[in-house]
Amino acid sequence: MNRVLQQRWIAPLTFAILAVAWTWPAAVSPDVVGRHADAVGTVWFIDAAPRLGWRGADPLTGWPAGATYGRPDSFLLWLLSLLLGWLPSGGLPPARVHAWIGVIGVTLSAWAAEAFARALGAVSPWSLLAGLAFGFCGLAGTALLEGYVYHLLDPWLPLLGLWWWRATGPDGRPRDGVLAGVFFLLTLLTSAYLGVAAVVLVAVLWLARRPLPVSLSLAQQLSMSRSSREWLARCLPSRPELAALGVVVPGLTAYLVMFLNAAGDHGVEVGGGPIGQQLGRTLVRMTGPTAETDLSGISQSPALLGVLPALVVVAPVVLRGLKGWQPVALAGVVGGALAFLPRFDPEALAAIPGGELLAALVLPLIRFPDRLGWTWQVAGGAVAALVLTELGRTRPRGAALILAAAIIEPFAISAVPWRQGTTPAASPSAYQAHTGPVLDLWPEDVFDAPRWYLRSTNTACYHQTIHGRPIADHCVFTPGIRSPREALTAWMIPRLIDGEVASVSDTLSRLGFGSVVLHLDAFRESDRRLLRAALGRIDPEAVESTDGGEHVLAFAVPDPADAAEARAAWAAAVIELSSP
Amino acid sequence: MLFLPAITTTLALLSGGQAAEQQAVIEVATRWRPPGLRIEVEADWLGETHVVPLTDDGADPADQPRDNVWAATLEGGRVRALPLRIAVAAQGLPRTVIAERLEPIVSTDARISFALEHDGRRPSARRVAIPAPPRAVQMNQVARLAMWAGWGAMAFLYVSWLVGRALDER
Repeated sequence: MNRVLQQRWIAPLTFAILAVAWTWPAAVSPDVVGRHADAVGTVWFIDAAPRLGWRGADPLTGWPAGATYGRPDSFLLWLLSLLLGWLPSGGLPPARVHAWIGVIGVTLSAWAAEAFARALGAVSPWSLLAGLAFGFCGLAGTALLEGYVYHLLDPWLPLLGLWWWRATGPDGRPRDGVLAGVFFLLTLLTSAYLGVAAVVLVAVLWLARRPLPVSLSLAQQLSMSRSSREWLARCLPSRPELAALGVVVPGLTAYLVMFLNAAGDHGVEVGGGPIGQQLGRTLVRMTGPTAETDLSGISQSPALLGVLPALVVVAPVVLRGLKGWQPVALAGVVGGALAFLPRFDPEALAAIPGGELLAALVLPLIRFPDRLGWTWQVAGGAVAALVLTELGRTRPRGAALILAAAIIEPFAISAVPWRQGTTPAASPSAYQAHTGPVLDLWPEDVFDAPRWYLRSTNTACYHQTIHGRPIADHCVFTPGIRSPREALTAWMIPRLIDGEVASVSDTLSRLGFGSVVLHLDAFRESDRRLLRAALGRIDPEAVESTDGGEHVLAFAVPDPADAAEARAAWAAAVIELSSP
Repeated sequence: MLFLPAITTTLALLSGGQAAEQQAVIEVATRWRPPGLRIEVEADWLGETHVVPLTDDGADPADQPRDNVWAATLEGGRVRALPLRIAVAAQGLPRTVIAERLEPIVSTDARISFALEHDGRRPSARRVAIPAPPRAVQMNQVARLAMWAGWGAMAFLYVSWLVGRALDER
């Protein structure tokens, strides 16, 4: 193998080894890897994707009405799962696919970021820094821990940076623009949040690389001696930029139409308190995780400090005389600054002119401003690798020490492998005792368990990947819409506790449920006893199981209606269920 | 992209079996030591209620004697979440449940820590990440943040120094 070929494989092999270690135990664990509720939810999505059509209609969730998920978190994960579902063996187990997306995603994303740095002028091994900064960053760690691993399978953002940087440069070709457009769309399809980070990267690179007339003073414009034709030429997009627009405009239009027409009111969580307090919390998160970080049901700690900002800060000194890196650094700094944005209150925004439109379009995309930090990681990482390359020319040992620190940082600061968790891949066997749609009975809230509703919903959805029966939950976040499970349990738990068994049994039969599965662990002891007794009057021979990580009882519902009757009954029952 | 099938095949061969057993160490940190103090954990573990006393005399394998962290080890089959109650009793204080929680379990050797305090009227406990009194937990958080900030500052100082040396050599 010649030297060039060897060098070509150093980066992916290094990243693959580091990815296996960093995402541990994802490479080998038979469990669902991820410590929070989105892990099992994402496994459900991988399993369900092949049956969701283009409209995202799923008859097996939201029973009896069914559900339409027009706005999945990741269209790309949907496509990937669809392809894997067509494998001859019926596909890989979804929990395995989920875990391996983490390992492979980190590897590919880091490799692409390294390629971006090489395009800027960085050389191996210093270019590895860019891959470490992007693929192994705190945001990636958060995605791994929280379980939405599709954020990790994003080589597209660095490749977008690479081709857009070329397209907007003096030697840009239409082909560069087309590729940039394709990678922009792939980033957007990976996740809308990443798409927003891509917009920041694209916009800043474009503005900074073109000497736009708007960037000059009006006086200069008026007194300049250039011909009006020249002036106009500078305002208009170049051929590579037009080529990119040719790809992006139709794709983006289709995406936005789908996004805005999808079910839901596009609601966002109300702003997270006074801006000063939010900024304080953001600064703490950006510093690194504390021991308490993972106790709240999420693991958000982007951890932006370390060798990356230290190298970017000295770039103007070290890279003096070099061209082309400044717009990339600017894009990184802008992305990093935007990551500190507070969560805006939609009501406050509505008070300003055009605020309602802004709230509808933008707020759903910046529910988590931290995620705009991806732009910082990809662009800052490329510039940092270039700085390290320059330092490596004269001080290779010192530069090697920095590279070593960059390898240790993801393990020491984000500490992902040590914070990672797993949950059993098995499901309670009691689900297998009956047939037909199943209603999972969880309490609406429980003790002080963090983010309980998301956890119970996603667990019920996960169980469906194994039992395969229709369930009443909505398994993709549909803001503003109550799932049948939520409506039904809110209606029936008080009735069961009060002993009104007949009306509950009749409603469940009319809605076509074949059984009710009572998740005993989640209820307080007193409620548990009452519910068990009440449901025991519907089915005295309940099936109990203690496998699959839970203690559950499955109660058969007598004479369930068929699907058409159940849907008709649901339409009528909605009014009844919403009455106190 | 050609190496992807190789990676997935290797990963498939390396995948292990599912763990059947679960351990959970319950820790309660407290400096409150009234005469006759008894701390217990009640856990509804897959249909069975375990009531286990916590100790601070080293009797439990997970316990360090007299470090003001009481501990008990529970074992059973794998669970997704564990309903827990922490109860205390002491001379003049009847048995009282001071914390009730459904704890998500994401590890086969989970450690679940509480900090117990007494405000002069009644005891209370809250879930913490490390077994230490609330003030010590706060201090730990501050220390961690200071450490990461210090690391950032050190990285910057080292890079600046290296840049200075590199520029000198140019």
